[in-house]
Amino acid sequence: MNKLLSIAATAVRELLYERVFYILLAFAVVGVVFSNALGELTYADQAKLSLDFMLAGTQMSLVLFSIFVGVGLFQRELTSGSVAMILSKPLSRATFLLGKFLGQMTVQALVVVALCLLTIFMWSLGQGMSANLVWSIIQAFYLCYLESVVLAAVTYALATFSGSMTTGACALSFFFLGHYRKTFDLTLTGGSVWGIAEKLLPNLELFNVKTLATYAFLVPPVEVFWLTVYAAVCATLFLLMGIVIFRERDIPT
Amino acid sequence: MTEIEFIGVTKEFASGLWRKKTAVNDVSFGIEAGAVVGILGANGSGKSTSIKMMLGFLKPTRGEIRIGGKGPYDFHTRKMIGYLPENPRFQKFLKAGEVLRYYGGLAEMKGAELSARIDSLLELVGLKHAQRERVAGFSKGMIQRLAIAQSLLHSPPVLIFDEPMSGLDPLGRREIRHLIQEIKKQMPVTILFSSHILSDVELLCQSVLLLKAGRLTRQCSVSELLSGEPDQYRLVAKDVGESFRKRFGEKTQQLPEPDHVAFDLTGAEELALVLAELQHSGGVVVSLTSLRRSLEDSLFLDRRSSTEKGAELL
Repeated sequence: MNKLLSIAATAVRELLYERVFYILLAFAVVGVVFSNALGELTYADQAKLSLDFMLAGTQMSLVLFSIFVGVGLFQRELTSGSVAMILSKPLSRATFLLGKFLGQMTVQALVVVALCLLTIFMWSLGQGMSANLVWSIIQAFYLCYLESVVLAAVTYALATFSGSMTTGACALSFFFLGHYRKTFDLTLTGGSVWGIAEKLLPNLELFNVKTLATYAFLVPPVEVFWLTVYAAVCATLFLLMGIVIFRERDIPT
Repeated sequence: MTEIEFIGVTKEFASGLWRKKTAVNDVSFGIEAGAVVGILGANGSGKSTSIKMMLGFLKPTRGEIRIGGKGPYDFHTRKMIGYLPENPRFQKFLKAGEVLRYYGGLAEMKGAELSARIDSLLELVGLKHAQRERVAGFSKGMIQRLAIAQSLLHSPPVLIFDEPMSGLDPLGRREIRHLIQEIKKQMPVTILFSSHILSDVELLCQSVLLLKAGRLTRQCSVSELLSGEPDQYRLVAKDVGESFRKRFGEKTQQLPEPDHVAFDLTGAEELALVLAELQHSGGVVVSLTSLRRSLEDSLFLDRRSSTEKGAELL
């Protein structure tokens, strides 16, 4: 356990020294701050659209963060060869992978909390604030975080056997397929292959409650609980897949 | 006691869809505990692949590797090994002391024991002054010394160094060489290191493993490898007389410095003869250097001698 935490703590520090982390964070902050202005451009429902922009900006930032920071954090160790000194110690490959994942999830959680507070603050500057709305915003951010956990797990699983570009592209495909499964069903094959793939792919649209949040509708706590379980199961399965592949593969370093 | 053992180890890599490339081919050897052994070979001879198999990074296609009687994937084996990769890299934001604390934690060390070990190792590798400096500002030599310190953290009985002097300038190489000698003096360890800088192997190792195209072509002591070669000397003298010049004219080489000449001599008898004549003619010896053939000459340059030795070295 100590080794896992040690790798996670170093991964947190590593991320805080990453340029890409600050670029994505800046992107998210700018998105939230300027959403009010974007809302002004619309004819009606300006407040709701502003909040929708804020949540969408945060979601996209977290998606990019999960994928590209994950690829960087894990792949860089492999390509630079620094993994060799770590894995020469009495440490399993699973601990290494999980430590990196845990470190990234910690930083992502802090980012989500910061963005959530910023969104509530920005919203409260221009609009009236109700308890329901605050909770619905918190719920929306929490579910965005769960989605980012699943995507990061997918990224780590892919990164164990493919290069940075392939991993990034495939993880982004997972995101789009996870959200637009029905659209693809209608426009692409509609056949049995897609039927099987649809069952295997995590349904990321379940985590999308942005529209509900803009209307201050709360998702029932039981549903949030089951969504948490669903995200945990999906992430665990992808991480297990990654661990099995990573344990069996050669590391040329 | 045999510390490291390779039994018929072969490693094949996929090369395209159906083709396979054999990096290590049916290699068997044993290394006794406490020995300092060099793995020699040209690029692509299978040195690094062999080392990576010992560490469990690569799985042998066939054969078995045992370190301290156990396989490379065993946790007990990992505790036995200290590893220095060819190009060590650390997280640049960490300070030297933090690097060692991180790797020490991974090697199951903690508390006062780890702190004391970090202090003594930084002292040993000469980085005590840089304990609180970030790795980002370190030179290649400093990184190499820090990497050696991390390999020694948990006092492993087996040290595996992959090209430890690679990329270093002559001064850096000498420092690392001295450090390895110092480690050997202070700790009862088995050291295995790969190199193609042969003079380093010659100076540090008791025995060598010679690899060529993935095959082990020879395992012998360094002196055995060099034996049979006639001793050669270079003598530099000044103020030699005319009669002396006439007698050894064909061996005499005029040096840029006035009245200085050099002689390349083969064998102790010829050396004794020249020294006697030199004394007789009133000449002065400036320097006498042994030109014993280096491993590089023996292995990489002289194909003829390798076939005479009955080994397919190159």
